[in-house]
Amino acid sequence: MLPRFIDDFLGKQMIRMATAAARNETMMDRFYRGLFARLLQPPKENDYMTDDIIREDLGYDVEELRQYQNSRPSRFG
Amino acid sequence: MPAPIPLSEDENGHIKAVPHQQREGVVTKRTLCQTCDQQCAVVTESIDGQVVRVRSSDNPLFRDHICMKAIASPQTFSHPDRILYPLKRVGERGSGKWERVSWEEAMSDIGTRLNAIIETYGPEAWAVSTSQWNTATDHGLGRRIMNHVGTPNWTSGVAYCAGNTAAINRMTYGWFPLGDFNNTKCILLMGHSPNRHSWTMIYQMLRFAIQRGAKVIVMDPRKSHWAEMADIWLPLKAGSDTAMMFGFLKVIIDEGLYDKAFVKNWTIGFDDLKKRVDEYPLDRVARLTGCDPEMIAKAARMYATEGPSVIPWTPITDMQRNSTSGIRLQSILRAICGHIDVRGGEIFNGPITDFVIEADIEMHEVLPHAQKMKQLGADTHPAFTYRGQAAFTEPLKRIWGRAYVNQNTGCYMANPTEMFRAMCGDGPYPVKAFFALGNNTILSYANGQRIIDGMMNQELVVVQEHAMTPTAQLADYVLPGDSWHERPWLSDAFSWGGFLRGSEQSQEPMGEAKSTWEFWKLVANAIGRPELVPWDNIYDFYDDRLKGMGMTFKEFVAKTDVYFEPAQFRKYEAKGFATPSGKVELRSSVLEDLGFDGLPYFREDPELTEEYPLKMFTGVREDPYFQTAGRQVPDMRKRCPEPRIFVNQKTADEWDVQADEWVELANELATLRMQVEINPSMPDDLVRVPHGWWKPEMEIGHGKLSGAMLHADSLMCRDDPEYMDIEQGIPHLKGIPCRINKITTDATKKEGQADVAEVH
Repeated sequence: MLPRFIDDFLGKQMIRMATAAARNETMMDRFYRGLFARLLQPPKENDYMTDDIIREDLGYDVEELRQYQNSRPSRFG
Repeated sequence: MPAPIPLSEDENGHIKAVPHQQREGVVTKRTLCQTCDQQCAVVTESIDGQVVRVRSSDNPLFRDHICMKAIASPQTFSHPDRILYPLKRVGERGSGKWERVSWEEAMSDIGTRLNAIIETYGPEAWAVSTSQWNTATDHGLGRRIMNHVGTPNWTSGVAYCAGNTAAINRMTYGWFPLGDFNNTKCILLMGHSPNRHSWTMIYQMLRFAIQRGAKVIVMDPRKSHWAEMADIWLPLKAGSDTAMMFGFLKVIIDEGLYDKAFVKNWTIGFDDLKKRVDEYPLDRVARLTGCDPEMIAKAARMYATEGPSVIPWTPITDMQRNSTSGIRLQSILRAICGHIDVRGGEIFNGPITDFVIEADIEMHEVLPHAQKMKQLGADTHPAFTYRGQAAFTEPLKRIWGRAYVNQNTGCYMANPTEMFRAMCGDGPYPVKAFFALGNNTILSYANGQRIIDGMMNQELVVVQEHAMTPTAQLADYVLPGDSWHERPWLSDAFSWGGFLRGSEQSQEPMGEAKSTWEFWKLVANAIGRPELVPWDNIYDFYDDRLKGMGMTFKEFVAKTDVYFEPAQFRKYEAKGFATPSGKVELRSSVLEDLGFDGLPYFREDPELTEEYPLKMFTGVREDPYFQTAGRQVPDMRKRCPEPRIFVNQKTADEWDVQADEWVELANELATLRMQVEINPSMPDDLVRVPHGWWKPEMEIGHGKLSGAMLHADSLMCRDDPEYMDIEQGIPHLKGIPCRINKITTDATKKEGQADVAEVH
């Protein structure tokens, strides 16, 4: 394990970078945002996030959803 | 479960999200998904006032904290059969016939009948079962009303989950800590198997920890995906986790791998523990667990020396006949290895400063002592009842400034089995009114038939739900519950996580759906106690809870995605632990005072009989569903259309069954019908049974219960003393004797296949 003060220092820097990345206002914020996106993106061959239902999701069409809801009367009133 | 824990004492880590570019006509809201207990940060997108899409958070820290259930939720909540109006039973209980009534009519009758039952039988004749996870807006309001009325008989699915784990952890060090996944060096997964679509947030944190280089030890009878990527996999016999942990302790103590300074200064009972551990030499542990002693020793050394290590919460030890000892041994391992309240270990996150926690709302102090002692299970299995937790009131006040902190809502519960016995008329006193809120009770606890019998014996049953569940089918009133799209929410992760998050309301409730918070306010009014809920609406309520922090709910939500205070470590050096001794109690004074063994122990399973030579385990979630919910959602059901047991090829051959064949699974309590899946990850003679199956499209009413009588695992879960934990009274769901019967007649085969109905 790293000495405590180095661990603390790195921790503070990470939180600052994450805060900036979430703020997304200045050029540095966007730089950190890009950095985080890259760091948090695993290699394609090891991307455990890959799942079509997540990747390809565009949500539901509102009319389709309402038609579904009203496709038949409720069995329970 | 946890949000990122701040790495610096100087930072408070308030992270404000910036939304993606808005699409025209689309309204986005930052919300917390409440489909399961994880509370993933997600964004809803609405068009014309209706949520049409749920996507991942804009905050990079919560990237891809989303699963298929959240994505399908617009369809879930738009289902044609969703309960949108109050329904009153017509005819006999369980007739399956309903008439629509107004909320006013329903609540007036409920209030009158509840008051009459309390007057006739006493307040303890009113019992409530709820799932706090997805009726999240309860916020302790139900218990507040119950405490004022005088009934202690509240229970929840968390009795077999993180609730009982929290209560038992307290026996060792007075609190239920949470693993610091961001900094840990070693993870011991005890059968818990988070994946992409179940426990998603923990799954991602574990994967990141592994990418960082953390070691992983997996105990699991199955060769799970975690087992495949583990540094060490211990394929132990189902239900032998407790014996395995004795093996770990034997190695760690014998080889001096524990934190000697911590043990000397901050624990009591080490010598007694050592004597008990000496009863478990590795060859005995190897026999009990079926694992190689060398591998056990290697894993124990890794856990003790590669740390700080974490043992994430696991539902496996929550549901065993040795549950109390198993959970105690986890906490003892954490403590003697020096992994508690340190960075990378198990953090003691206290209540948020100046925030009104749910235990404050619940007001346990107003329930008289005599009523607390009447709580069902207090005499037989008291560990998580008021009686079992009474010794912690003073220590909790000393450490956290409150006599009651109801971590994970699990620290002051009635025992479920004893509650259902009393509902049947077999308890110390009758229970005659039963409320089930967002809780499909019949499928959620052991011995489902007893629960059915108990419900049939009630004078008043009230259910608040989204769907006409088997439990709702036996109610007098079924009331429409709102969804997480339709309500605001404020979560402090059940006084466990050490952080606070807000969730915006995304759309108006459909039909006449109401939140559980509103339901309880109406109950208070209906029984003539409106003063118990003095807030006009939930926003006032949230504002009141946040007042000490100097902001309103809306300001809070606008300000942050997650609020947490700087992590502080080794807090015990200032105030000790929240135990009666102020130290880590390796030998529990609380358990001893309750008349139990203060040290952990292991009870071997009874011998298997010729009639039931297989073992089954249940309680497993399937990705498209959370517990018993979601079978009516087409996009989910097509992914997992039928209840399927898993066996390996050898077991299938021995029982002469094929893949996709419909079979009967039987034991002393019930015979269920399931489809076979040959799964190579399964060990010999072990059957994995899916949890919580019913088919909403099938016939409703008593005797049918929408297929629950054919498929619900709860009907097979035993709750007799041989298969029950002693201190908590928790059933053994990880090794129940059973057998497989082939379905031989064409008629029965046809009947089995006729269950495969189209889902709309």
